Amino acid sequence: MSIYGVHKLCRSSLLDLAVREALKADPQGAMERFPLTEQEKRLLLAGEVGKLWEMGVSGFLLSYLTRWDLFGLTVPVYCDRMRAAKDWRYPDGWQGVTSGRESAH
Amino acid sequence: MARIVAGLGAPHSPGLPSTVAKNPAFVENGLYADLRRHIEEVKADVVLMFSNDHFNTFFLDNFPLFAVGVAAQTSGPNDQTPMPQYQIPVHEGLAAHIHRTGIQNGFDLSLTQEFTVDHAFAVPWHFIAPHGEVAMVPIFVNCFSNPLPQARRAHDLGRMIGSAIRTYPEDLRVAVFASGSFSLEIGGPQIPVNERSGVPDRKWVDRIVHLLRTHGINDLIEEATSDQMTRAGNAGGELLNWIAMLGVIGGQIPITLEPQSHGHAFGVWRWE
Repeated sequence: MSIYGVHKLCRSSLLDLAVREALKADPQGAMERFPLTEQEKRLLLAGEVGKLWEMGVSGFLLSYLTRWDLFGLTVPVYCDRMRAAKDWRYPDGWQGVTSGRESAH
Repeated sequence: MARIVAGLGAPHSPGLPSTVAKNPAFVENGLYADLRRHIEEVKADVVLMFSNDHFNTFFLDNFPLFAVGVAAQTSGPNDQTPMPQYQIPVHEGLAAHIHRTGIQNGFDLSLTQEFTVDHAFAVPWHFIAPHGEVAMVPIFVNCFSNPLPQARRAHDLGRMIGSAIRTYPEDLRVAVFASGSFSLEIGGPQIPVNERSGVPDRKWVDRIVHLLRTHGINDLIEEATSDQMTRAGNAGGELLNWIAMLGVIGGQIPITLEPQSHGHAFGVWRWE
């Protein structure tokens, strides 16, 4: 089942310690526990979180992966790739609101 | 009969308990202490809490739009949030009455009878009733997984719950608590450089605060479209918890409303 399996993997990395350790030790093997398409496996292994987001994967759940640098996703790498995602919902950009891309805490 | 005695709103930032443990002078600790004082002053027996699960209590195999927790107790947090674990007493009778009244009034509420809660309920609990000073009635609102409920529906849900509370035969004093942010992006494309989260839409935060202070609930419901809440971040839907709370307490303006820099606010509504 597309997308759902990625969500389930991300959630399990937080809540299931055995899954987390397996993802650290053998990401490719651990992915077999989840119903992922070949494309999803490829993008996860490459840490392509922006592309996964474009397909409809939750950024909130994907960001769990940075807690343990899974799939090579340190926070700076994650941010670069996620911020480069193209938002299909607003092809002309974010209108009528302050730009989140520059906003700091 | 049960009475509604106050409305409250605050964030549930998962880092807040550990931040405050290291630095008790942190401003949000004081703001939460104020909320706790108000709950004590109105002698609340029950805190009915609108909050949103973050795929921990529920998952996308079965994710309710609105759910009522009906049990003698719950516990949490269930999501690795660095904070103490709590056993949380639930007012089972009032929760069951709200569930039943909702169904009878056309709200197709989900029911959960064996559940734990994540930081969305546990963080407020940590600050307002860590020793079980009140009982909770947890109301889960989907603020996080599109499609979101409509703002009008969340407000109507609150109005229905207000009626249900007022027809509950026990003499209970019920404070209504809304937990969540107005603008917050976690892990999505609107995050700032080298951060896991950020505030994408500060103008929207200012607009919400203005409308809350000026009897603007109807404008707020009109403007809080799914589109606008999403532009305010993937947690922007948490505004729905506040809109539902306002539906319960009616057309009041807050006695205090303190917006903070991270896209959320602390608010208190009192009338007695």
